[in-house]
Parts: sequence; structure tokens; C-alpha cells
Amino acid sequence: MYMKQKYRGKKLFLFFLIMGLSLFYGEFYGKSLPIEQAQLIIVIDFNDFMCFSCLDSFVEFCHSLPFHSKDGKVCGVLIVNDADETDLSFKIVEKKLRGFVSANDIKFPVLVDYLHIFNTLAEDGTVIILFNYQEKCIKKYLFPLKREQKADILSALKD
Amino acid sequence: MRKGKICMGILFLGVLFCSRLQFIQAEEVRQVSFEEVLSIGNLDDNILFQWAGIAVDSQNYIYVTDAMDYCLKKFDCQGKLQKKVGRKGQGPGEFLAPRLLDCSRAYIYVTDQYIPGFQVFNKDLKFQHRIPLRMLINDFKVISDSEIAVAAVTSDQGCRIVLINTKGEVIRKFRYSEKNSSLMMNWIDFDFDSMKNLYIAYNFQDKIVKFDSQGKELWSHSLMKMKHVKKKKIGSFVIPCEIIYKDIAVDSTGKVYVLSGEFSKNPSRDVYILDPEGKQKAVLTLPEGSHCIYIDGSDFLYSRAGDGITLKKYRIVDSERQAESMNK
Repeated sequence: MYMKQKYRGKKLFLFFLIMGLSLFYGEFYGKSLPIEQAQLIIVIDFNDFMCFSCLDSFVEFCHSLPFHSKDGKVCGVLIVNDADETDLSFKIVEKKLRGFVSANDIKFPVLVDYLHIFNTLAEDGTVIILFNYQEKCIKKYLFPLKREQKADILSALKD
Repeated sequence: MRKGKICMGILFLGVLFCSRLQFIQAEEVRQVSFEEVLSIGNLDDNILFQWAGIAVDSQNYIYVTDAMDYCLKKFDCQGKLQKKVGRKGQGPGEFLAPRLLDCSRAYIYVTDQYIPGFQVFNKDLKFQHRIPLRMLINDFKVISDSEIAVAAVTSDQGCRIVLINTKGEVIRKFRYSEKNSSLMMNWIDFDFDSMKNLYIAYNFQDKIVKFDSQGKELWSHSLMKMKHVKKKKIGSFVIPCEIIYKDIAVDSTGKVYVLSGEFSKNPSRDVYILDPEGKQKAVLTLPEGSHCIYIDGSDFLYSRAGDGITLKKYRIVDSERQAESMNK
């Protein structure tokens, strides 16, 4: 009897801990990472936007995305030149990004790739990496996008 | 024996002459200092994101195009933003890539990299009209509200500055070089002095030329002693990939300021100062690289800092000019 009472508190603690954890992870994985749905990473290189058709194709594509940024399906990554790695140059890039996002009305989050993780992916220019879980494949698209490429991406996102 | 002595003497005199020559040159090409009088745009504000073109009117208002947010902006002489207009688009008052600008007494003329011609705004930045032009514009200067000089990029690679009216009609053509060059090799920046003399700096050739108002070549100089620039093939085109001179501007006293490209000691920072005869008098080294320089009516120099998020205005401190005025 005494032993039962002694461990009752601990059992209750463990019960609530497990319930809490399962609820937390259920919420987290269930909503933010819906692995059955496609996801996009757009790797952006500002140098490409000297080419008008690339910039136009990029902005047009961003505006055609049919969902809100909170869906977490799309994320942008801005690559930076690895020749200039001072704090000041990073801050300058952040400011330019702020202006670019605001002026072009881009709704999804864009991060600056300070560690150059994505530089090799964008060697040929600004690209879209599509994670298509239904088709179990990862695809890469270069800007400017062709009409059928754009349709492919948008349909994967809608599915 | 005697011949040997003569040879030694000549050699000695030669060495003496050369060192004297070097001394004279070193004495004459001096470093000019400057002081910052205004800075517009910093890391935290949202005033400038990547400014491209600048012009200052007679009332010292500063007009700037910003390529990152597709805007034309007006600042007062304290650097306070008075107004901004524009957004991405091709309609009236909209831009795809706003670039160069210049102003007359009443209007601001703005070019766009992807839209041929000019957009004309009044001093309140209210869109007025477009001036159609089929040619791409490499540089331009507003002479008056009825005349604009344009260095145009033409399909035949002809080396011409055309004078157009407000309807975009060509009034006069001026050929600044007799030989047609390969792609981009005849691209220039230019400016006029108060006597309407024309100064040209080639972007991809080591050549600075002065013409009088009648079109007669007065002098031509090379500051970098460059013969060729590297070229690369893009598709079927071969284009130069190293810029020699980025910009040229003339102040009210007729001094010529030439912004260096990639071949000077401090690339994109050294500004060579020539007298009206083309003799190099001084060098001014900007604190940061710039894509252009601009000199306003009061001889203040404007350049880029922070990769385009900041516009700097400098007073040029010319010791020679100060000494002259002291003597007077």
C-alpha cells in the first residue's frame, strides 16, 4: 500500500510527460512537416536577376504560388558570394534582401545562406528544388522556368 | 679610354634625366583628399537598397534611382527623403530596372535597362510623359528641355552620340570614332564642360578623348597603358569582361574626373583628375568601390558605398586650389 502510494506520483508524472510529448510531436510533425505533400526550396542568386527574364520568371512564379507562407511548403535561400564574409557584407545582403522581398511582394520566408551550404546547388543560377513525396523524387528546375515546368511544380504542390 | 669616359658620362646623364623625370611626374600627380559631407542610407533604414543613378538639381535636391525597389527618390540637401515614386511594372511611372537619370531646370529624365527611351517626371516626381527611343542607352546628358545627348548602343556597333528632342527624334548625330569596334568595345560614358566641350571615357578601351563643341578631337589619352582587355564568349557573342573606365565627370572649373575600372591600383576607387588639357594632375581614392561618380553644380562629388545601400557626398579638398585662393 505504501509502495503503491510512493510510486503513484511518479506514474502520474510519467503519464503526463508521455502524453505531453506525444501531443507536442504529433502537433509538430503533423502540421509543420506534412511529408505526404510536396515542398520547395528556392535557391536564389541575386546575380541572376541582372537577366530580366530570370527575374521576371522568378517573381511571376512566386506570385503564382497558391498558398500562404505559413503552410511551410516553400522556403527561399539566398546564396552569398563566399569571397566576402565580413559581418558588414552579410548585413548589406540582409538589407538588400529586405528591399527585394518587399518590392517584389514575396510571401514566403527567405534565409541568407551564410555557410554557403547551397552554393553548389545554384552553380547554374537560381533554382527550385522540389521534394515530391508522392512521386518519391527530388527535382531541380532552373530559372527562367518553362510553362510546363511551372505547371509541374504547381500541380505537385496542390496534390 | 676616352670613348669609355664619354659613354659613362652619357649613361650618367641619362640616369640623372630619367630620375628627374620620375621626380617631376611624382611631384605633379598628387593625392587629393576629400571630406564626407553627407551620407544617405545605412544598414537599418529602408531608404536606399541599391541605388543606380544620381542627379542633383540647381536647388541641391538629390534624385536617385533604386534598382532594388524599382523607385525614383528625391532627397533634400540634408539627405532627408522627400518623396519616392515607382514600383515594378511597365506602366507610366513604373520601372523594371531604373538606371540612369539627369535633370534639367524643370524635369527629371530616367532610363530603364529593359524599357527603351526615357520617362520624364517633374520635380515633384509626378510622371509627365515618355520619350520613345528605339536605341538602348549607354549614357546620356540633358542639355536642355529640348535637347538630350545620348550615347546609344546600336546594332551596327557605330560609335555615335545622338542629339534627340523631346519627341525622341534625332536632331543631330556625332561620330566619336571612325572605326566600328566589336561588340561593346565602343561603349562610353561622357560629359560636357561649360564650353560644351565633350569628354569621353571608353568602358573597354584605355582611351579618354576630348572634342570641342564643333566635334574636332582635341586630345586623346591612355591612363592605364593597357592594350587589350580580356574577352569571353557567351553563346555566339564575344564580349569584353574587364572594365577600364567606369565613369567620367567634369566640374565647374573644367577639371575632368575619371573613375577607374579594374586596372588601377585601387580598382573602382581611384578617380584620376585631369586638367582641361588632359594632363593628369591628381588621384583621389574613394573609401569604397563605386559604379559611378557624379559632380554637382557646386563641385561636390557623389559616389557609392556599402555596395549601393549608401550614397556619399564629398567635398574635394584640393590643396593647389586652396593655395591659389590664399595667394589671391
